[in-house]
Amino acid sequence: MRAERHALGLLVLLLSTFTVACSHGSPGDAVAELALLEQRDAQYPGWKIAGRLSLVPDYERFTRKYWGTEEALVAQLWLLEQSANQFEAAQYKPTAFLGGKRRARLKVKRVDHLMKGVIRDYIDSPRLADIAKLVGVFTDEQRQHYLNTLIEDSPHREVQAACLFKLAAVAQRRETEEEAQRAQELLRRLIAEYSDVPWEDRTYGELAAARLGPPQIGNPAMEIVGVTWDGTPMRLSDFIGKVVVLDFWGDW
Amino acid sequence: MYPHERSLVKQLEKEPFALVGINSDSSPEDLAKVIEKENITWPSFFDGGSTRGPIATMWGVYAWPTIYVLDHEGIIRYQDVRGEQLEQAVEQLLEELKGKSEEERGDNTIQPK
Repeated sequence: MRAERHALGLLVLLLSTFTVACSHGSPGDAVAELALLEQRDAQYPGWKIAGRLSLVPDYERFTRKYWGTEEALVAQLWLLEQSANQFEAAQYKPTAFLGGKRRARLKVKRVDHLMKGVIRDYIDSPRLADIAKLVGVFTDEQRQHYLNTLIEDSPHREVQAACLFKLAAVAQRRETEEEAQRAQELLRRLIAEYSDVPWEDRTYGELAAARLGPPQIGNPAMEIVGVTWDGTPMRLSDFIGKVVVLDFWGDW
Repeated sequence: MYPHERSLVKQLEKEPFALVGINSDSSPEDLAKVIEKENITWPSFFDGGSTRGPIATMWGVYAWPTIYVLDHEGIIRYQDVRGEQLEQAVEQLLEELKGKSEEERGDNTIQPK
């Protein structure tokens, strides 16, 4: 009797292993497998790019197996991060002229491939806020376009704000008059529409304001959305059409 | 500051003019008390109870009081004007606004050739 039960148990075990191996994994397996991958990844310090790259095939297998789960997205973002790191390394290495340019081009292609899947199947994930800094490494128009896509198509304000901020930062880095203008517009839009969205222990409004500097004469006033002392909602734009004296004050 | 602001608001009662405060006192109750005591008739935003409130931060304000004068289109036109200068600035922008609306009325009456 006991032996029979054992045999049955073994059969069930074998069957289930077989099913898992054949079909896509279940979500529980994804969590465990990703944890294992991350454990292996954690042995390499950040600058050990080569070591981490040895894990790429395993991460790729993982994303294929669990595509559609949150874990696969985490893994896909890890792959994107590696491409971004490699791209930066290829550009700034002293040996960049020895095929570095070509390698950089290949990385860009790979980013396109990775981004295509993310945008197609994960556009609704709040995790895409992390993409802003990864894609921000690639400063060309085509790659910057991903940020625009996320701003338009992501339903999450955190994602939109992160991408807007990155676009502004990249524009500011370009140091032309036109781009500086564009950066200012983007930062003002951030302040107007996303000032309450948190970034670490601050907000995107504060970040953007710090980059923009204090308001200048001749510029449009930044919108203020707030409440009065008794909680009545009020906006600065309620006063459009009037000459306004804006008075920052305190009774101290 | 308060008496001057009060008189400015009183004096321009009938004009398209508004004084809007952003208050950095520590609580809405404190603000309510000051408003009562100083007979403050104009509206003020409550800025979260500190000098590092969201509005002051966004506007990069590090000194109090800080004053901006905006025209009727919401463009910043003057900064940190006080006393008589403030009055002149407001007068100037009100003139400009009147000039504009007269001009618009003029435009509407252009005759066909």
